[in-house]
Amino acid sequence: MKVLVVCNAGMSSSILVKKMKEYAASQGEALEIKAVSSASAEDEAGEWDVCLVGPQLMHAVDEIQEAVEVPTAAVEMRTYAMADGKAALAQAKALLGQ
Amino acid sequence: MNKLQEWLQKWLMPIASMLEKQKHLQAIKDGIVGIVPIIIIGSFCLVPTGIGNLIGGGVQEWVNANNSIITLPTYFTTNIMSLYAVLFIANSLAKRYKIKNALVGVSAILVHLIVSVTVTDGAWNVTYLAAEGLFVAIISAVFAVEVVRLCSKYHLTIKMPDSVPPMVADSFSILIPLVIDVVAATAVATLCQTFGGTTFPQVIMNVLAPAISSMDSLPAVMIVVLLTQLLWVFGLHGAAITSSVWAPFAIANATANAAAVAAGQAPTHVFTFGFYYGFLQVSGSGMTLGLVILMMLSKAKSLKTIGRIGFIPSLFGVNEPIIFGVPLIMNPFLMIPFVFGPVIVAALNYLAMSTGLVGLPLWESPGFLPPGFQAFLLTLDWKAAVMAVLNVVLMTVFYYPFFKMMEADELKKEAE
Repeated sequence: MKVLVVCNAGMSSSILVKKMKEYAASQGEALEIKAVSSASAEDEAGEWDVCLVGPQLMHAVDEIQEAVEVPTAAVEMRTYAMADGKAALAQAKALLGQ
Repeated sequence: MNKLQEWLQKWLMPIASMLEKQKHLQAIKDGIVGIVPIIIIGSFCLVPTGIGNLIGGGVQEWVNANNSIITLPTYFTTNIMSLYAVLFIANSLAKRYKIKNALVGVSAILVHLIVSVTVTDGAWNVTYLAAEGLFVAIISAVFAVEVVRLCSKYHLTIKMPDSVPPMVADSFSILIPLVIDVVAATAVATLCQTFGGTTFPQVIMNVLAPAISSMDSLPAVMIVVLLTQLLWVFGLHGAAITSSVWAPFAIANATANAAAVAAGQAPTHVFTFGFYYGFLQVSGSGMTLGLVILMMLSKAKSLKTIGRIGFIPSLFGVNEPIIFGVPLIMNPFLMIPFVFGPVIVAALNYLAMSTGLVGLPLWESPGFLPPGFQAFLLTLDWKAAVMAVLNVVLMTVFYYPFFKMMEADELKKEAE
Protein backbone atom coordinates (compact mmCIF):
# COMPACT_ATOMS: atom_id res chain seq x y z
CA MET A 1 0.00 0.00 0.00
CA LYS A 2 1.20 3.50 -0.79
CA VAL A 3 0.23 6.14 1.79
CA LEU A 4 0.85 9.87 1.61
CA VAL A 5 0.63 11.86 4.86
CA VAL A 6 0.10 15.60 4.58
CA CYS A 7 0.44 18.30 7.21
CA ASN A 8 1.21 22.00 7.13
CA ALA A 9 4.99 21.83 6.97
CA GLY A 10 5.50 18.07 6.65
CA MET A 11 7.03 18.01 10.14
CA SER A 12 4.45 16.71 12.58
CA SER A 13 3.27 14.22 9.95
CA SER A 14 6.80 12.81 9.70
CA ILE A 15 6.50 11.70 13.33
CA LEU A 16 3.43 9.62 12.44
CA VAL A 17 5.07 8.34 9.25
CA LYS A 18 7.98 6.94 11.22
CA LYS A 19 5.63 5.06 13.57
CA MET A 20 3.50 3.72 10.69
CA LYS A 21 6.63 2.43 9.00
CA GLU A 22 7.78 0.72 12.18
CA TYR A 23 4.40 -0.91 12.71
CA ALA A 24 4.10 -2.10 9.10
CA ALA A 25 7.62 -3.56 9.25
CA SER A 26 6.79 -5.40 12.50
CA GLN A 27 3.76 -6.93 10.76
CA GLY A 28 5.73 -7.78 7.64
CA GLU A 29 3.47 -5.58 5.53
CA ALA A 30 4.70 -3.75 2.45
CA LEU A 31 4.20 -0.03 2.97
CA GLU A 32 5.43 2.88 0.92
CA ILE A 33 4.87 6.09 2.85
CA LYS A 34 5.94 9.71 2.78
CA ALA A 35 5.21 12.97 4.68
CA VAL A 36 4.82 16.20 2.70
CA SER A 37 3.67 19.75 3.33
CA SER A 38 0.25 20.80 2.08
CA ALA A 39 1.97 23.21 -0.33
CA SER A 40 3.56 20.29 -2.18
CA ALA A 41 0.49 18.05 -2.21
CA GLU A 42 -0.19 18.98 -5.85
CA ASP A 43 3.11 17.40 -6.89
CA GLU A 44 1.88 14.04 -5.61
CA ALA A 45 -1.23 13.75 -7.78
CA GLY A 46 -2.05 10.13 -8.54
CA GLU A 47 1.22 8.82 -7.05
CA TRP A 48 -0.38 7.23 -3.98
CA ASP A 49 -3.18 4.81 -3.05
CA VAL A 50 -4.53 6.85 -0.16
CA CYS A 51 -3.83 10.11 1.63
CA LEU A 52 -3.99 10.92 5.35
CA VAL A 53 -4.12 14.54 6.52
CA GLY A 54 -3.03 15.93 9.90
CA PRO A 55 -6.16 16.87 11.88
CA GLN A 56 -4.99 20.51 12.04
CA LEU A 57 -5.73 20.66 8.30
CA MET A 58 -9.16 19.03 8.51
CA HIS A 59 -10.65 22.15 6.92
CA ALA A 60 -8.45 21.51 3.88
CA VAL A 61 -9.26 17.82 3.32
CA ASP A 62 -11.39 18.52 0.23
CA GLU A 63 -8.72 20.70 -1.34
CA ILE A 64 -6.00 18.17 -0.63
CA GLN A 65 -8.12 15.33 -2.01
CA GLU A 66 -8.60 17.35 -5.19
CA ALA A 67 -4.83 17.83 -5.38
CA VAL A 68 -3.69 14.26 -4.71
CA GLU A 69 -6.57 12.60 -6.57
CA VAL A 70 -6.90 9.63 -4.18
CA PRO A 71 -9.18 8.89 -1.20
CA THR A 72 -8.25 11.36 1.56
CA ALA A 73 -9.23 11.78 5.21
CA ALA A 74 -8.06 13.57 8.34
CA VAL A 75 -6.28 11.36 10.87
CA GLU A 76 -8.22 10.86 14.07
CA MET A 77 -6.87 13.38 16.65
CA ARG A 78 -5.85 10.91 19.34
CA THR A 79 -4.08 8.73 16.76
CA TYR A 80 -2.17 11.75 15.48
CA ALA A 81 -1.20 12.95 18.96
CA MET A 82 0.08 9.59 20.11
CA ALA A 83 1.67 8.89 16.72
CA ASP A 84 -0.21 5.59 16.81
CA GLY A 85 1.12 3.80 13.72
CA LYS A 86 -1.20 0.84 14.10
CA ALA A 87 -4.39 2.92 14.28
CA ALA A 88 -3.29 5.22 11.46
CA LEU A 89 -2.53 2.26 9.22
CA ALA A 90 -5.92 0.77 10.04
CA GLN A 91 -7.53 4.09 9.12
CA ALA A 92 -5.64 4.17 5.81
CA LYS A 93 -6.83 0.63 5.01
CA ALA A 94 -10.42 1.44 5.93
CA LEU A 95 -10.25 4.45 3.64
CA LEU A 96 -9.14 2.20 0.81
CA GLY A 97 -11.97 -0.20 1.64
CA GLN A 98 -9.60 -3.02 2.57
CA MET B 1 -19.30 23.79 26.44
CA ASN B 2 -20.73 21.51 23.78
CA LYS B 3 -23.14 24.21 22.67
CA LEU B 4 -20.29 26.69 22.28
CA GLN B 5 -18.21 24.10 20.47
CA GLU B 6 -21.02 23.35 18.04
CA TRP B 7 -21.71 27.00 17.47
CA LEU B 8 -18.10 27.90 16.75
CA GLN B 9 -17.56 24.76 14.71
CA LYS B 10 -20.51 25.80 12.61
CA TRP B 11 -19.00 29.23 11.96
CA LEU B 12 -15.26 28.71 12.03
CA MET B 13 -15.02 25.61 9.86
CA PRO B 14 -16.74 27.17 6.86
CA ILE B 15 -14.54 30.27 7.12
CA ALA B 16 -11.40 28.15 7.33
CA SER B 17 -12.53 25.97 4.41
CA MET B 18 -13.52 29.01 2.41
CA LEU B 19 -10.05 30.53 2.86
CA GLU B 20 -8.51 27.19 1.95
CA LYS B 21 -10.60 26.93 -1.21
CA GLN B 22 -9.59 30.44 -2.28
CA LYS B 23 -6.96 29.33 -4.78
CA HIS B 24 -5.35 32.76 -5.15
CA LEU B 25 -4.83 33.30 -1.43
CA GLN B 26 -3.35 29.85 -0.94
CA ALA B 27 -1.07 30.12 -3.96
CA ILE B 28 0.15 33.53 -2.81
CA LYS B 29 0.87 32.18 0.66
CA ASP B 30 2.65 29.04 -0.58
CA GLY B 31 4.60 30.97 -3.19
CA ILE B 32 5.73 33.66 -0.79
CA VAL B 33 6.62 31.25 1.98
CA GLY B 34 8.51 29.32 -0.70
CA ILE B 35 11.01 32.14 -1.19
CA VAL B 36 12.03 32.22 2.48
CA PRO B 37 15.15 30.10 1.75
CA ILE B 38 16.23 32.70 -0.84
CA ILE B 39 15.85 35.46 1.75
CA ILE B 40 17.72 33.39 4.33
CA ILE B 41 20.64 32.91 1.93
CA GLY B 42 20.69 36.63 1.25
CA SER B 43 20.62 37.19 5.02
CA PHE B 44 23.62 34.89 5.54
CA CYS B 45 25.67 37.26 3.38
CA LEU B 46 24.72 40.13 5.67
CA VAL B 47 25.70 38.31 8.87
CA PRO B 48 29.40 39.39 8.62
CA THR B 49 28.23 43.02 8.43
CA GLY B 50 26.06 42.46 11.50
CA ILE B 51 28.86 40.77 13.41
CA GLY B 52 31.29 43.53 12.36
CA ASN B 53 28.92 46.14 13.76
CA LEU B 54 28.60 44.10 16.93
CA ILE B 55 32.31 43.64 17.56
CA GLY B 56 33.69 46.75 15.89
CA GLY B 57 37.45 47.35 15.66
CA GLY B 58 39.55 45.27 13.29
CA VAL B 59 36.75 42.86 12.44
CA GLN B 60 34.49 45.67 11.32
CA GLU B 61 37.28 47.23 9.25
CA TRP B 62 37.99 43.92 7.56
CA VAL B 63 34.30 43.34 6.82
CA ASN B 64 33.89 46.83 5.44
CA ALA B 65 36.97 46.46 3.25
CA ASN B 66 35.62 43.24 1.75
CA ASN B 67 31.96 44.12 1.88
CA SER B 68 31.42 44.28 -1.86
CA ILE B 69 32.48 40.63 -2.17
CA ILE B 70 30.73 39.36 0.96
CA THR B 71 27.41 40.98 0.13
CA LEU B 72 27.49 40.36 -3.63
CA PRO B 73 24.92 37.52 -3.43
CA THR B 74 22.38 39.81 -1.76
CA TYR B 75 22.05 41.66 -5.06
CA PHE B 76 20.81 38.44 -6.63
CA THR B 77 18.69 37.21 -3.71
CA THR B 78 16.97 39.70 -1.38
CA ASN B 79 17.43 42.60 -3.79
CA ILE B 80 15.47 40.86 -6.54
CA MET B 81 13.31 38.63 -4.34
CA SER B 82 10.05 39.57 -6.05
CA LEU B 83 11.39 37.90 -9.20
CA TYR B 84 11.60 34.60 -7.32
CA ALA B 85 8.23 35.26 -5.70
CA VAL B 86 6.46 35.78 -9.01
CA LEU B 87 7.72 32.43 -10.29
CA PHE B 88 6.80 30.56 -7.11
CA ILE B 89 3.34 32.11 -6.84
CA ALA B 90 2.59 31.50 -10.52
CA ASN B 91 3.72 27.87 -10.32
CA SER B 92 1.75 27.31 -7.15
CA LEU B 93 -1.42 28.81 -8.64
CA ALA B 94 -0.95 26.89 -11.89
CA LYS B 95 -0.67 23.67 -9.89
CA ARG B 96 -3.88 24.46 -8.01
CA TYR B 97 -5.63 25.02 -11.34
CA LYS B 98 -3.94 21.85 -12.62
CA ILE B 99 -2.47 23.82 -15.53
CA LYS B 100 0.26 21.63 -16.94
CA ASN B 101 2.03 24.14 -19.20
CA ALA B 102 5.63 24.43 -17.97
CA LEU B 103 5.94 27.96 -19.36
CA VAL B 104 3.30 29.59 -17.15
CA GLY B 105 5.92 30.64 -14.61
CA VAL B 106 8.03 32.16 -17.35
CA SER B 107 5.10 34.20 -18.61
CA ALA B 108 4.60 35.56 -15.09
CA ILE B 109 8.28 36.56 -14.88
CA LEU B 110 7.90 38.41 -18.17
CA VAL B 111 4.86 40.36 -16.94
CA HIS B 112 6.62 41.21 -13.70
CA LEU B 113 9.79 42.43 -15.42
CA ILE B 114 7.89 44.66 -17.82
CA VAL B 115 5.87 46.39 -15.10
CA SER B 116 8.68 46.59 -12.52
CA VAL B 117 11.95 47.31 -14.33
CA THR B 118 12.64 50.71 -15.84
CA VAL B 119 15.11 50.90 -18.70
CA THR B 120 17.17 54.03 -19.33
CA ASP B 121 19.52 54.00 -22.33
CA GLY B 122 19.50 50.23 -22.23
CA ALA B 123 20.47 50.02 -18.55
CA TRP B 124 18.09 48.20 -16.18
CA ASN B 125 16.94 49.75 -12.96
CA VAL B 126 15.92 46.81 -10.77
CA THR B 127 15.14 48.70 -7.55
CA TYR B 128 11.51 47.61 -7.68
CA LEU B 129 12.35 43.92 -7.88
CA ALA B 130 13.23 44.06 -4.15
CA ALA B 131 10.75 44.05 -1.25
CA GLU B 132 8.76 46.91 -2.81
CA GLY B 133 7.97 44.63 -5.73
CA LEU B 134 6.52 41.81 -3.68
CA PHE B 135 2.92 42.92 -3.99
CA VAL B 136 3.42 43.60 -7.68
CA ALA B 137 4.76 40.04 -7.97
CA ILE B 138 1.46 38.81 -6.58
CA ILE B 139 -0.47 40.82 -9.18
CA SER B 140 1.83 39.78 -12.04
CA ALA B 141 1.66 36.11 -11.11
CA VAL B 142 -2.11 36.01 -10.71
CA PHE B 143 -2.59 37.96 -13.95
CA ALA B 144 -0.30 35.72 -16.01
CA VAL B 145 -1.84 32.50 -14.70
CA GLU B 146 -5.38 33.76 -15.17
CA VAL B 147 -4.58 34.73 -18.77
CA VAL B 148 -3.36 31.21 -19.47
CA ARG B 149 -6.37 29.69 -17.73
CA LEU B 150 -8.91 31.88 -19.49
CA CYS B 151 -7.26 31.48 -22.90
CA SER B 152 -7.46 27.74 -22.50
CA LYS B 153 -11.05 27.94 -21.22
CA TYR B 154 -12.18 29.96 -24.23
CA HIS B 155 -10.02 27.97 -26.65
CA LEU B 156 -7.77 30.92 -27.44
CA THR B 157 -4.73 28.70 -27.90
CA ILE B 158 -2.77 27.34 -30.79
CA LYS B 159 -3.52 23.63 -30.62
CA MET B 160 -0.95 21.13 -31.82
CA PRO B 161 -1.72 17.50 -32.73
CA ASP B 162 -1.33 15.04 -29.87
CA SER B 163 1.73 13.49 -31.48
CA VAL B 164 3.74 16.69 -30.89
CA PRO B 165 6.06 16.43 -27.84
CA PRO B 166 4.62 18.26 -24.77
CA MET B 167 7.45 20.81 -24.61
CA VAL B 168 6.79 21.89 -28.20
CA ALA B 169 3.02 21.95 -27.67
CA ASP B 170 3.52 24.05 -24.52
CA SER B 171 5.63 26.60 -26.37
CA PHE B 172 2.92 27.05 -28.99
CA SER B 173 -0.03 27.13 -26.61
CA ILE B 174 1.63 29.83 -24.48
CA LEU B 175 2.04 32.18 -27.48
CA ILE B 176 -1.38 33.87 -27.40
CA PRO B 177 -1.27 34.33 -23.59
CA LEU B 178 2.21 35.81 -23.97
CA VAL B 179 0.98 38.33 -26.54
CA ILE B 180 -1.82 39.38 -24.15
CA ASP B 181 0.68 39.56 -21.26
CA VAL B 182 3.17 41.70 -23.14
CA VAL B 183 0.56 44.12 -24.47
CA ALA B 184 -1.18 44.51 -21.10
CA ALA B 185 2.03 44.86 -19.08
CA THR B 186 3.54 47.37 -21.48
CA ALA B 187 0.33 49.37 -21.42
CA VAL B 188 0.33 49.46 -17.60
CA ALA B 189 3.99 50.46 -17.41
CA THR B 190 3.54 53.19 -20.05
CA LEU B 191 0.36 54.56 -18.46
CA CYS B 192 2.04 54.86 -15.07
CA GLN B 193 5.02 56.57 -16.66
CA THR B 194 3.08 58.93 -18.91
CA PHE B 195 0.25 59.99 -16.62
CA GLY B 196 1.81 59.51 -13.19
CA GLY B 197 5.46 60.04 -13.96
CA THR B 198 6.04 56.99 -11.82
CA THR B 199 6.26 53.21 -11.95
CA PHE B 200 3.57 50.60 -11.40
CA PRO B 201 5.28 49.23 -8.23
CA GLN B 202 5.35 52.76 -6.81
CA VAL B 203 1.63 53.17 -7.51
CA ILE B 204 0.90 49.86 -5.74
CA MET B 205 3.13 50.80 -2.81
CA ASN B 206 1.27 54.10 -2.43
CA VAL B 207 -2.07 52.30 -2.49
CA LEU B 208 -0.93 49.65 0.00
CA ALA B 209 1.09 51.93 2.30
CA PRO B 210 -1.72 52.26 4.88
CA ALA B 211 -2.27 48.48 4.90
CA ILE B 212 1.45 47.77 5.24
CA SER B 213 1.97 50.15 8.13
CA SER B 214 -1.19 49.07 9.94
CA MET B 215 -0.15 45.41 9.59
CA ASP B 216 3.09 46.17 11.44
CA SER B 217 1.43 47.49 14.58
CA LEU B 218 0.68 46.36 18.09
CA PRO B 219 -3.08 45.81 17.56
CA ALA B 220 -2.52 43.91 14.29
CA VAL B 221 -0.01 41.54 15.89
CA MET B 222 -2.35 40.95 18.83
CA ILE B 223 -5.32 40.25 16.56
CA VAL B 224 -3.30 37.87 14.39
CA VAL B 225 -2.15 35.91 17.45
CA LEU B 226 -5.64 35.88 18.97
CA LEU B 227 -7.23 34.52 15.77
CA THR B 228 -4.46 31.97 15.35
CA GLN B 229 -4.91 30.64 18.87
CA LEU B 230 -8.72 30.62 18.58
CA LEU B 231 -8.50 28.51 15.42
CA TRP B 232 -6.17 26.09 17.21
CA VAL B 233 -8.74 25.69 20.00
CA PHE B 234 -10.90 24.04 17.35
CA GLY B 235 -8.04 21.91 16.13
CA LEU B 236 -7.39 23.95 13.02
CA HIS B 237 -3.86 25.01 12.10
CA GLY B 238 -4.21 28.65 13.08
CA ALA B 239 -1.05 30.01 11.51
CA ALA B 240 -1.60 28.12 8.25
CA ILE B 241 -4.99 29.80 7.94
CA THR B 242 -4.24 33.33 9.14
CA SER B 243 -0.89 33.53 7.34
CA SER B 244 -2.68 33.48 3.99
CA VAL B 245 -3.41 37.10 4.88
CA TRP B 246 -0.33 38.25 6.81
CA ALA B 247 2.53 36.24 5.25
CA PRO B 248 3.05 38.64 2.29
CA PHE B 249 3.33 41.59 4.68
CA ALA B 250 5.62 39.79 7.12
CA ILE B 251 7.96 38.63 4.34
CA ALA B 252 8.02 42.06 2.72
CA ASN B 253 8.89 43.56 6.12
CA ALA B 254 11.72 41.07 6.64
CA THR B 255 13.17 41.85 3.22
CA ALA B 256 12.87 45.58 3.83
CA ASN B 257 14.80 45.12 7.09
CA ALA B 258 17.50 43.10 5.32
CA ALA B 259 17.77 45.80 2.67
CA ALA B 260 18.17 48.45 5.39
CA VAL B 261 20.93 46.41 7.04
CA ALA B 262 22.68 45.96 3.69
CA ALA B 263 22.53 49.72 3.19
CA GLY B 264 24.07 50.30 6.61
CA GLN B 265 20.81 51.55 8.11
CA ALA B 266 18.76 50.35 11.07
CA PRO B 267 15.88 47.94 10.42
CA THR B 268 12.44 49.46 10.96
CA HIS B 269 9.90 46.61 10.97
CA VAL B 270 8.98 44.47 13.98
CA PHE B 271 6.38 42.12 12.48
CA THR B 272 8.41 39.90 10.18
CA PHE B 273 8.03 36.23 9.38
CA GLY B 274 10.87 35.46 11.80
CA PHE B 275 9.34 37.60 14.55
CA TYR B 276 6.24 35.43 14.38
CA TYR B 277 8.02 32.07 14.39
CA GLY B 278 11.15 32.90 16.41
CA PHE B 279 9.38 34.74 19.23
CA LEU B 280 5.63 34.09 19.23
CA GLN B 281 5.76 30.40 18.27
CA VAL B 282 8.68 29.29 20.44
CA SER B 283 8.22 25.51 20.95
CA GLY B 284 5.02 25.65 18.87
CA SER B 285 1.63 27.38 18.92
CA GLY B 286 0.76 28.47 22.44
CA MET B 287 4.44 28.25 23.48
CA THR B 288 3.75 25.03 25.34
CA LEU B 289 7.24 23.84 26.33
CA GLY B 290 6.74 24.72 30.02
CA LEU B 291 3.39 22.96 29.97
CA VAL B 292 5.09 19.90 28.48
CA ILE B 293 7.62 19.85 31.31
CA LEU B 294 4.84 20.24 33.91
CA MET B 295 3.12 17.26 32.31
CA MET B 296 6.29 15.17 32.31
CA LEU B 297 6.62 15.78 36.06
CA SER B 298 2.94 15.12 36.72
CA LYS B 299 1.63 12.24 38.80
CA ALA B 300 -1.22 11.80 36.34
CA LYS B 301 -0.20 8.95 34.07
CA SER B 302 -2.02 10.12 30.96
CA LEU B 303 -0.44 13.58 31.15
CA LYS B 304 3.01 12.15 31.78
CA THR B 305 2.75 9.94 28.69
CA ILE B 306 1.76 12.81 26.40
CA GLY B 307 4.44 15.03 27.90
CA ARG B 308 7.12 12.47 27.12
CA ILE B 309 5.93 12.00 23.55
CA GLY B 310 5.74 15.73 22.96
CA PHE B 311 8.98 16.89 24.57
CA ILE B 312 11.56 16.42 21.81
CA PRO B 313 9.32 17.67 18.94
CA SER B 314 8.43 20.67 21.15
CA LEU B 315 12.10 21.63 21.41
CA PHE B 316 12.01 22.04 17.64
CA GLY B 317 8.78 24.00 17.50
CA VAL B 318 6.48 21.07 16.65
CA ASN B 319 3.73 20.67 19.24
CA GLU B 320 0.91 18.91 17.42
CA PRO B 321 1.33 15.89 19.72
CA ILE B 322 0.59 18.21 22.65
CA ILE B 323 -2.25 20.10 20.99
CA PHE B 324 -4.04 16.91 19.95
CA GLY B 325 -2.80 14.77 22.82
CA VAL B 326 -3.63 16.73 25.99
CA PRO B 327 -5.74 17.78 24.07
CA LEU B 328 -5.59 21.56 24.04
CA ILE B 329 -8.53 21.51 21.67
CA MET B 330 -11.68 22.67 23.46
CA ASN B 331 -9.84 22.10 26.74
CA PRO B 332 -12.01 23.68 29.46
CA PHE B 333 -9.00 24.16 31.75
CA LEU B 334 -6.25 25.33 29.43
CA MET B 335 -8.31 27.26 26.90
CA ILE B 336 -7.89 30.61 28.66
CA PRO B 337 -4.08 30.63 28.97
CA PHE B 338 -3.72 28.98 25.53
CA VAL B 339 -5.76 31.67 23.78
CA PHE B 340 -4.93 34.81 25.76
CA GLY B 341 -1.41 34.07 27.04
CA PRO B 342 0.19 34.32 23.59
CA VAL B 343 -1.66 37.59 22.94
CA ILE B 344 -0.08 39.12 26.06
CA VAL B 345 3.32 37.69 25.12
CA ALA B 346 2.97 39.10 21.60
CA ALA B 347 2.12 42.56 22.94
CA LEU B 348 5.10 42.53 25.33
CA ASN B 349 7.48 41.38 22.59
CA TYR B 350 6.20 43.97 20.14
CA LEU B 351 6.60 46.74 22.71
CA ALA B 352 10.09 45.54 23.73
CA MET B 353 11.17 45.78 20.12
CA SER B 354 9.35 48.92 19.05
CA THR B 355 10.77 50.80 22.05
CA GLY B 356 14.29 49.63 21.20
CA LEU B 357 14.75 47.57 24.35
CA VAL B 358 15.43 44.49 22.24
CA GLY B 359 16.96 44.40 18.78
CA LEU B 360 14.66 44.25 15.75
CA PRO B 361 14.78 41.34 13.29
CA LEU B 362 17.62 42.13 10.90
CA TRP B 363 16.67 39.58 8.24
CA GLU B 364 15.28 36.01 8.04
CA SER B 365 16.89 32.95 9.59
CA PRO B 366 16.20 29.22 9.66
CA GLY B 367 13.45 28.23 12.07
CA PHE B 368 12.23 25.16 13.99
CA LEU B 369 15.09 25.56 16.46
CA PRO B 370 15.14 25.24 20.27
CA PRO B 371 13.90 28.30 22.20
CA GLY B 372 16.05 31.41 21.77
CA PHE B 373 18.18 30.19 18.86
CA GLN B 374 16.10 31.63 16.04
CA ALA B 375 15.55 34.82 18.05
CA PHE B 376 19.32 35.29 18.32
CA LEU B 377 20.01 34.45 14.67
CA LEU B 378 17.35 36.96 13.66
CA THR B 379 18.61 39.86 15.73
CA LEU B 380 22.21 39.06 16.81
CA ASP B 381 21.01 40.44 20.13
CA TRP B 382 21.42 38.24 23.23
CA LYS B 383 18.52 40.11 24.82
CA ALA B 384 16.25 38.81 22.06
CA ALA B 385 17.27 35.24 22.83
CA VAL B 386 16.54 35.83 26.51
CA MET B 387 13.17 37.33 25.61
CA ALA B 388 12.22 34.26 23.55
CA VAL B 389 13.07 32.00 26.48
CA LEU B 390 11.19 34.30 28.86
CA ASN B 391 8.16 33.99 26.60
CA VAL B 392 8.07 30.28 27.39
CA VAL B 393 8.63 30.95 31.10
CA LEU B 394 5.83 33.51 31.17
CA MET B 395 3.49 31.12 29.37
CA THR B 396 4.37 28.44 31.94
CA VAL B 397 3.27 30.83 34.67
CA PHE B 398 0.00 31.40 32.79
CA TYR B 399 -0.56 27.67 32.31
CA TYR B 400 0.40 26.63 35.85
CA PRO B 401 -2.80 27.29 37.85
CA PHE B 402 -4.99 25.94 35.04
CA PHE B 403 -2.71 22.95 34.63
CA LYS B 404 -3.04 22.17 38.36
CA MET B 405 -6.83 22.14 38.04
CA MET B 406 -6.64 19.87 35.02
CA GLU B 407 -4.17 17.59 36.79
CA ALA B 408 -6.42 17.29 39.86
CA ASP B 409 -9.32 16.38 37.61
CA GLU B 410 -7.19 13.85 35.75
CA LEU B 411 -5.92 12.26 38.99
CA LYS B 412 -9.48 11.94 40.21
CA LYS B 413 -10.44 10.18 36.97
CA GLU B 414 -7.45 7.86 37.23
CA ALA B 415 -8.29 6.97 40.85
CA GLU B 416 -11.80 5.92 39.89
